[in-house]
Amino acid sequence: MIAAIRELVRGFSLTFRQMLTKPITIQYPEERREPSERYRGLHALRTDPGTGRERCIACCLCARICPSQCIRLVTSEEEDRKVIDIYDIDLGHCLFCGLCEEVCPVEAVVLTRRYEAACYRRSETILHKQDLLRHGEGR
Amino acid sequence: MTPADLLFVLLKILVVLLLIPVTVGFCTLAERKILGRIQLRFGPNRAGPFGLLQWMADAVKLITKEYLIPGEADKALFVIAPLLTMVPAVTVFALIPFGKGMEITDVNVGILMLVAISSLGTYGIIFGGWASNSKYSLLGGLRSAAQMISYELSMGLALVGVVMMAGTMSLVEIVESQKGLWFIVAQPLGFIVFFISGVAETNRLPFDMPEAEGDLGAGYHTEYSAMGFGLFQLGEYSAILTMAALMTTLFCGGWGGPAAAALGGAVSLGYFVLKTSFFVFVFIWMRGTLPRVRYDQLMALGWKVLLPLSLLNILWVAGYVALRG
Ligand code: SF4
Ligand code: SF4
Repeated sequence: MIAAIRELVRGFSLTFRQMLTKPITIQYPEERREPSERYRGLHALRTDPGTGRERCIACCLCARICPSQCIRLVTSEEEDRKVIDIYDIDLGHCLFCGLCEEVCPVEAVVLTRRYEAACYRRSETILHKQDLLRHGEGR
Repeated sequence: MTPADLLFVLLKILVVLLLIPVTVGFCTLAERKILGRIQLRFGPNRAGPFGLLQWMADAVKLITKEYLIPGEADKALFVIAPLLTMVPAVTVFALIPFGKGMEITDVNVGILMLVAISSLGTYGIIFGGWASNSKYSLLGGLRSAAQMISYELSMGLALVGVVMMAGTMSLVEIVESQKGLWFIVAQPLGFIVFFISGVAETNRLPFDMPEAEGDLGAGYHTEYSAMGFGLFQLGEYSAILTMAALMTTLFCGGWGGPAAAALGGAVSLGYFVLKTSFFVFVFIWMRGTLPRVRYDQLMALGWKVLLPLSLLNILWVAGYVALRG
């Protein structure tokens, strides 16, 4: 009986103290959570800061290693190198494993810390080359 | 009674009737806020400053939604049931003295009437459970019936203690008779019994067996949508307010407090509101702290602990009254 009452008092005092502490909620649209350095978010294609050209050499390794086969590449030849014409990543299939980033020999495709991937239409779940290049600006 | 008197009474009824939904609205808001803080959340804070308009948004949402009646349901009972829980809970306010001379009516058998009216609310829950024609609802209704029978008993016996000490059944006079000593001090046991059975009567955690969203999927109001659900909620929160007001009135000196009798009016009302809000807070605090008890534990507590305790309390009060003359 005494023990039960003591437990009750402990429980009530704990919840009362919790009431006085600051909530840990992050108020999303106003405050944002900072993901860790190693966070694997949306993809980006980097460009060479010196020349401004795409780093990708169209080797297709990323498309080959992708476990969910969600990278679609169409390449063509320019005068001195191969380039990609189409680079689509289907986010609906991507599992954000980061293998594409790891395998890329020139560090062209990277996973950013961007995590806001919500969209209104299903077609928007596919990232095209321009989206990826935009994500890669300044990296 | 002259027409002017009648008009005045009607006016008082109107004011109270209008105030209750608003108070209930703020109660739900307070509940969500306090529960939120207990769980390290903010609670609703988007509608209006600090979420103060949340209850209005909820009400509008509930009113504009479609009122679904299940095909197999007993239509008439299904519609009546939510009203049956709400109306008695609101009616009890007619008897409660909010401040010095601030009651709608002073009935000389106030306590009897109160017990009679407030137990009517159970019918709403039982009918709701029955009319829905769903197994979860029916179980909720059954549990509610069993719970009420067990706890009404010890509650009634706790009230006997109050009546013995006050020597009257009128709520106004009960408040007057607590001028010297609040009954919570004179008969703490009675208060504890009344409090626990009050929590059980209003189906609040840890005794929310009829609802039990974990095992019954919201129990008696599983099938209710829109305003039917809204009325059940309104009824539940009015019942909480009623219970808090009763604890204040019967055990904590009602509107009494330092200088209340002399200053009267607003000061006494202030004391009443303060005490009642405290009890409402305790109800919410309890919900945030205690887990739901098992059904057999609930029954055991009612019959094996509270009932003997309330009898013991009557014995104590009898001795007390006899010794003090
Ligand atoms: S993160 Fe993994 S699944 Fe997604 S595109 Fe890269 S390799 Fe494919
Ligand atoms: S992104 Fe990297 S791995 Fe993929 S095709 Fe271009 S260079 Fe090769």
